Amino acid sequence: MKLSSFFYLIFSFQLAAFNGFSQKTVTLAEENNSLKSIIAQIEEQTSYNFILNNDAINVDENFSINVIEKDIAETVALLFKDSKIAYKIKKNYIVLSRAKKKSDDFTVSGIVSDSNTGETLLGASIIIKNSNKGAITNEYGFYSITLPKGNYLFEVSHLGYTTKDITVQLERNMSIKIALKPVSSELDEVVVRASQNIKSQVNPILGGTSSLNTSEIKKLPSLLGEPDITRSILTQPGISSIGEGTSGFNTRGGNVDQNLILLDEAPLYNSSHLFGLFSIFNADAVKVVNLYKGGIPAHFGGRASSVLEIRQKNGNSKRIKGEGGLGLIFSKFTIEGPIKKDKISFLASGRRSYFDMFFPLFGDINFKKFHFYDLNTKLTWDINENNKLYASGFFGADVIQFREDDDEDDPSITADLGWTNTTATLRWNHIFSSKLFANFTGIYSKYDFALGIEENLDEENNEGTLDRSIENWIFKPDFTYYPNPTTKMRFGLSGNLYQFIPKFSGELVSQGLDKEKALELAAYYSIEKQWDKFSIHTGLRYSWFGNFGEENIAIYNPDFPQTPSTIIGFENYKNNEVSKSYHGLEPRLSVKYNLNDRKAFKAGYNRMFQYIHLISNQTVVLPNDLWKPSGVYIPPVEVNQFSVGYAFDTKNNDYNFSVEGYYKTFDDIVEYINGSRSGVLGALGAIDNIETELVPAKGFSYGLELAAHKNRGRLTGNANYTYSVSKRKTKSNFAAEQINNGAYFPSNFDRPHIFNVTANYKLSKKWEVGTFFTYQTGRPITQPNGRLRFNGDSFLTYSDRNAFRIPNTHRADISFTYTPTGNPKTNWKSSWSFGLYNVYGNKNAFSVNSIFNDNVLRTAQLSLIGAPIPFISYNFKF
Amino acid sequence: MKKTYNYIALIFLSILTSCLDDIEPEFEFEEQVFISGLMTNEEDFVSVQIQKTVPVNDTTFNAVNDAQVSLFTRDASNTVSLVSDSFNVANGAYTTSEMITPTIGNAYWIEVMLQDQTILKSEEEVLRQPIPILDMVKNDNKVRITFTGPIDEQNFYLIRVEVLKDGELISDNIDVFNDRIMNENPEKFLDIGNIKNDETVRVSINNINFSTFQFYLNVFGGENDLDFASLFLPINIVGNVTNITTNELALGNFGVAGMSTMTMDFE
Repeated sequence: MKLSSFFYLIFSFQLAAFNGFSQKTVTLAEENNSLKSIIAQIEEQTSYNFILNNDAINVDENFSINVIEKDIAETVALLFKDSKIAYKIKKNYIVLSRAKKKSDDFTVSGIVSDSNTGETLLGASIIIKNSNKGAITNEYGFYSITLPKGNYLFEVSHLGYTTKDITVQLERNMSIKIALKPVSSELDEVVVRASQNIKSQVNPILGGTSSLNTSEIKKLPSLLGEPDITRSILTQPGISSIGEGTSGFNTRGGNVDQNLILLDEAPLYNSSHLFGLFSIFNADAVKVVNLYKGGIPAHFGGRASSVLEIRQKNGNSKRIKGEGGLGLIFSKFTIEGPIKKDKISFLASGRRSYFDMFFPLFGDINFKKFHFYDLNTKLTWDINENNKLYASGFFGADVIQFREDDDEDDPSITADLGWTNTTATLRWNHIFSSKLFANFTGIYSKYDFALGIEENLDEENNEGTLDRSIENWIFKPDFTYYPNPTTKMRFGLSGNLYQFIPKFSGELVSQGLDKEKALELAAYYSIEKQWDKFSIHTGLRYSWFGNFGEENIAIYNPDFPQTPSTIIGFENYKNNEVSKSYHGLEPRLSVKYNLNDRKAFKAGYNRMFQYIHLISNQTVVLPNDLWKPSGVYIPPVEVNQFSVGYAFDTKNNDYNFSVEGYYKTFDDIVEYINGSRSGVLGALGAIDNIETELVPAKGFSYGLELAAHKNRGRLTGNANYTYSVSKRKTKSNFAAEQINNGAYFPSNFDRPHIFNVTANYKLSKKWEVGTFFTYQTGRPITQPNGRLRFNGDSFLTYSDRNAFRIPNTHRADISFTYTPTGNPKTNWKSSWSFGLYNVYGNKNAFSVNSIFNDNVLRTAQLSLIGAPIPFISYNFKF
Repeated sequence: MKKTYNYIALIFLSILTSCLDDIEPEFEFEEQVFISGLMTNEEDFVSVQIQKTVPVNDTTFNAVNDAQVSLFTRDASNTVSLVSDSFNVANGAYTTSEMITPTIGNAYWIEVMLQDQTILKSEEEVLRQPIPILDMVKNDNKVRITFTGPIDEQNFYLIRVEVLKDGELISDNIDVFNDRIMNENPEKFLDIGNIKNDETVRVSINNINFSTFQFYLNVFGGENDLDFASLFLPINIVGNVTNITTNELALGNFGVAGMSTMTMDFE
C-alpha cells in the first residue's frame, strides 16, 4: 500500500455562497462522467464537501446521474446505488468509503470427484475464468471459493480428466458437487494430446514437491513386473539410495530414517517386503503419491528430511470393479464397489507371493518359508453433505524360515523371521461451514519384528525368541479455513503416543532394552496467500516431545567418553515420569514470484525436528533395525533447509522444466563409534546403554536438481540430473570418539552425480514400451590402506571413513505392454507386460571388500542385482 | 549372538541375485604404527610389540626396533612412578629386562617414543582382581566352566580356551564377553562343546577394562566373510593408544588384566 493512501485527500473547493445560506438541492445530467467531476459539481452547487480516501475510492470511475433540483441526500443515494461505494452525510460533509462486501460475498464449496468411480480428486483446480483466482481441492477433494455476488464461469480441471466449465450464479452460499469425466483410455490420440502427466512446477508454491499417480508408476519398468512406489521415488531428482535392491531412500542428503512415510496418514517404519526388493505399497490400491522434499507444510512433522504421503483409493461408489494381475512370483487382486450407491463404498486389495514354491526346483535350499502378503482395505461413508467418514487399514507381512543342517562345527539351526506392518486410520471430514473444513483423524500404527531361533543339539535344544514392536497412537484435529479465493489457512493439533516394546525369551537372545514410551505433541498454523504475481505459503509448527519412564538411565563421568566403564551411577524414573523433554519452533516458508503464467521463481526455508532415530551402523536398512526415541543422551535431529528454484513451462505444457538448489544443515544426527556393536548386538537388543556406541554428529548437504518433462506426443517421459554433496562430522568432546579426527566425511549415500531418464513410447494402439536408465556416482567406502600382524593373524587397517568410492553405477530397464482390444460388450480389459530389469546385466558394485582367508588376502566386488531379471505378468480389469 | 544376527544378514543377501567378483585393486598405502600388549597381574616379564603397517599386498612384517618404551604406574595415592624403561628388543617385541610384579588396583600404561619423536601413549588402565574359576565339569561332550564376577559393576572378560591332546595344542580360541551377554548373576557359566575324552582343557580368564574389551571386539569384529563384510563398516583395530603429538587415536592397545587359569584333564 502506498504511503499516500494513509492520507485522506480532502476536496476543499471553495464554496460559492450565493444567498448566505446552505444550498441542499442539486441538478445534474451526467452520462459516464468521472466521479471526480460529479463531486466537483455537487460541491459547486451545494455547501457540502466530500471526504474520501483515494486509495479506497477510484475518483476516475465513471458514473451516470440525471437529477433536477433533487435533495442532496437523495442525489447521493441515487449516485452510489449499485456501486461499491458507501457514504455517510455528517453536517456539511459527505464521507465516502468502500462498501463492506460482507453482505454481498458468498461462498461456493463442494467436492470434486471422478464421474465414473465417485473417487474424490485431490489437487483438482477450479479457476474463475478471465481471472487468476481459483482454488485447488484438498486431500479430500474439497474446495471453497468466496466471491462477490455475481455470475461466474468456473473452469474445473484435473490431470487425466476432461476439463469442465460450470456457470455459477452466485447469489447465496452454494454447495456444488463437481464430477469430472476421465479421458477415455481407448481414445489413444486424445490421451496423447490431453496428457495425464503434466509436471509443471510453475503453479505449486512449495518448491521440491513431486506428485505421482498410479498410471505413471505402472508405466515404469519394474523388478519382476510389479509396479513399485519406492522405486518410482528413486527416479525423482534429489533422491538417492545406498544401492539397488535395498530398503528406503535418502532425500537431499538426509538419512533413510528422516523420511516420514505415511499411508493414509499412518506412519510406517519399514516400507519394504523382502529386505527392500519390493515396496509394501500395492499400486492398485493407491490413489496418489506426494513427495515433499523441499517445501514441507506445517501440518507435517516428526521427520527431518521429507514426507512421502500415500493415499489409498476410496473405492468405487458407482459400481463393482475389480482388477488384478498374475505374475511368475506373485499375484494380486483388488475389488471395490458400492455397498450403497453413492453413499458407502469399499476397497479391498491384496497381494501374495509364492516364489518359495519353486525353491525345491533349485535343489537343497535353506529357505523353508519365504513369502510376503499384504492387504489394503478402505470403507468410505458419505454420511451427508457435511460429513464423511473414512476407515482404512493396511496389513503386510513377511514370513521367512531358514534352516541350516549341522556340520562339524555348528549344530543345525532353524530361524523363523518375520515382520509385519499394521495400520488403521479413521477419519471424519466435517464441513462446519462453506469456508471451514475440518478433518479429525485417529490412527493406530504398529511395526513388529519377530525372530525365533532354535539350535538343535544332540542332547538338548536351545531356543530364543525376540519380538520388538513400535506402536503409534495418533490423534489429529485439522482445520482449513478459506476466507477468500486467494487465501487459505490451515491449523490444527497433533498428538502421537509412541511405545517401543521389546520382548525376549530363551537362552539365545538377551534382553538389554527396556520398554520405552514417548509422547509427541504439536500445534501448527499455516497460511497460503496469492496475489497477482506473488504467492506465499508460510507456517509455524510448535512441537514438544517427552520421553517417559519407567527407565533406569546411566549417569556418566563428564570428564570421559561415555562407555560402560565411565558410568558413575543411575537415575531411576518412575512409570510415566518424564525423563527428558524437548521442544522447538519449526518455521516453514515458501514464496513464489510468477514472471508470467509459464515462468516462476521460488524460494523456501524449513526447519524440522525429528524425535525418533534409527539405530543401526550397517550400510543397509534391515527389518530388525532398532528405533529409539530421543532421550537424555540422544537429542532430536534438527534440520534447516534453504532452497531456491525456477520453473518454466513451454506453451500448452508440452514441456516442463525446473531447476532447484538447496542447502541443508543437520544437527544432532547419530553416528557410530569405530567398531560399534549397535548393528550387531544392538539390533537384537543386547546392549545396555546404547548411547555408549553412538557419537553425536552434525552435517550439511547441498545440491542442484535439474528436471525436464515431455508431456505430449507418442514419446513422453522425463530426464533429471542431480548434483549433490552430503557430509557428516562428529562433534564429540573426546578425541577417542571422533571419526576421521573430527573432520567432515561423506555420508554413506553421498552420490554427487545422478542422472535418470524415463521414457514411454506408444508404438500403436496396443503396444507401449517403457524404458528407464540411471547413471550414478559410486557411493563412498572405507578401504584398506595397510596390513599388520597380530597374534599370528593378518589384519587390515583402513582409510578415513568413506574416503574412497566404489565404481560408478548404471542400469537400464525396459518393459513392453500389450493391451489387446477388449470386448466392447463386457467391461473386461486385460494387458500383458514383459520386460527386463537391468537389460545389459551390468554388475553394479554395491561394495568392494577385502578379507583375509588363512592370511591370504581376497578382495571382491559385490553386486546385488548383477544379472538381467526378466519378468512377465498378465493384468486385468473388469 | 553375532551368529544369529548373521543369519538375518545372510537371508538378506541370499534373496538377491548377488554375485561376488574377485578383483585386484591398487589400494593407497598409509604407513601407521601398531602397538600391542597385555600385562597381567602375574609376576612376569612385560612385553610390548611395535610394528609399522605394510601395503595391503605386502606379506612382510615391518618390525619397529628403534622405539623407546616406558612403563608407568599410578598407585592408590595418585603417585606416578616409572616401572621400567629398560626393554630388550627383538623383531619388534620389547620385553622388560626384569620381571615385573604388578599391584592389583594400580593403574598402568606405556609411553612409546618413535624415532621421529612421535609419542604414543596408552590409556591408564586399572589392574583388576583376577576372576576365581570355581570349577570345570564335563557332561557328555560339553564342558561347563563356572566362575564368579562382581555384580555391582559391569565386567569385561577376555577368555582363552585351549584344548590339548597328549600335550599337543589342538584348538585355541580367544573371545571377549561382558556380563550382559553372559548373565548378571555373580556365578557365571561358560559352556564349551565338542570336548572328547582324554583331552585337556586349559582356560584363562582375564578381567579387563572396557577399552581393552573394545579393542578385542574390534579385533574379532572384522568380518571374515565377503558377503557379510559388504553390510558393515570396516573396523580399524584401535584401542586405548593415542598419539599425544597429534591428539589422535592410534592403532593398537596396551591392556592390563587380572588373570586366572585352570587346567583339567578329562579321562
